[in-house]
Amino acid sequence: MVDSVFIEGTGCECDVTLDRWLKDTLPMLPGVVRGVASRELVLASREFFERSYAWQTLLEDQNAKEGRKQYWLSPLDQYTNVIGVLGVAYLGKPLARLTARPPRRSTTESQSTPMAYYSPDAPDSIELYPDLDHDEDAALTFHVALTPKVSVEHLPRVAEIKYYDAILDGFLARMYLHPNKPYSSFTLAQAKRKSFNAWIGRYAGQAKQGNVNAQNWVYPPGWGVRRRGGGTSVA
Amino acid sequence: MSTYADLISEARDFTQDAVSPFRNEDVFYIRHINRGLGEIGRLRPDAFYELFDANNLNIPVVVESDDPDSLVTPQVATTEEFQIDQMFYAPMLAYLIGMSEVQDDEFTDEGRAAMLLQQFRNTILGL
Repeated sequence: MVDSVFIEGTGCECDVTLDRWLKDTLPMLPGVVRGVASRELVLASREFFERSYAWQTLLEDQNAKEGRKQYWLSPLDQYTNVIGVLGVAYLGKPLARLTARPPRRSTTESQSTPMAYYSPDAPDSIELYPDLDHDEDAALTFHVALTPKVSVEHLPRVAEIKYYDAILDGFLARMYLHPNKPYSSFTLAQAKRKSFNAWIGRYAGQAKQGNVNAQNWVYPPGWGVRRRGGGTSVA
Repeated sequence: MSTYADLISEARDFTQDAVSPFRNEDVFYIRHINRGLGEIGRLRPDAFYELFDANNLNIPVVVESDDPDSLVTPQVATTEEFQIDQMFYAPMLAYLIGMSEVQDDEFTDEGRAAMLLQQFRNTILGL
């Protein structure tokens, strides 16, 4: 039995209404039912963020708990879900990622400092490895990717500031693919889908560079700098 | 907003059946409003997007009633507003007149009936 720890965040600023996209696409969608259009817009937005990981945030100063715990990160707040845990740090030290929990050893798995984390059964949850042997307040930092919830009627601020055209193309790609509507167009759907995919690739790349063109890799924590010619043991 | 009664009234204007005694009673039009709504539900289920509930389109069933409050969803009285988007009002009118033309044995004009029923289909599916 693994105990659950629920992480809460705040302030993701889902305050952009759908009206601007819907009004801009009025000429492209004759005969559309507005409720359907609103829904597809939210779904296109979710698809964009889910595939690109373009919306990210840090959840800092979270309490670490003793023993084997599963840290749940969704829902982050009333508008937002976590769709991926991109990094975890314990007391400022980045933890390695594991694809699964290592096989159980015969000796105790608890120790004072975890080395790694893995996602046991859902992309919005993680466990630390080895388990902590004590509670540590404000020890964990989570770097997470976000997406608007299925039920939202507003989109995040970044959706309008930067990803407006991308979401517009994704929205139109979905709409044009509807069968037997006045606005149905398989050709346009393909063109918009192609454009949407290109936007996703572009913004996923930018997100991996932290949106500031930073290098998107680090030396693994276990690596040290060594002198040429090997270690220091040979005299 | 237009009501189902308005729809019947407009259809009567087009079929020259606006003065009592009527060739077709209200129940005739109501029956075909319900058939037409069913057709829209089949061809454009998205028209009923806002009425969808409990995995059901909840296509309205229009009935004559002196006590609208006693009706149970999806029943609605003719005095109620046309519940789906107004862009489906004109096709619905074409359907109603077309069906009236099909059955009216005094003024039947088969070409007009076919044209109106085709118009119904074209306007809800295309430009």
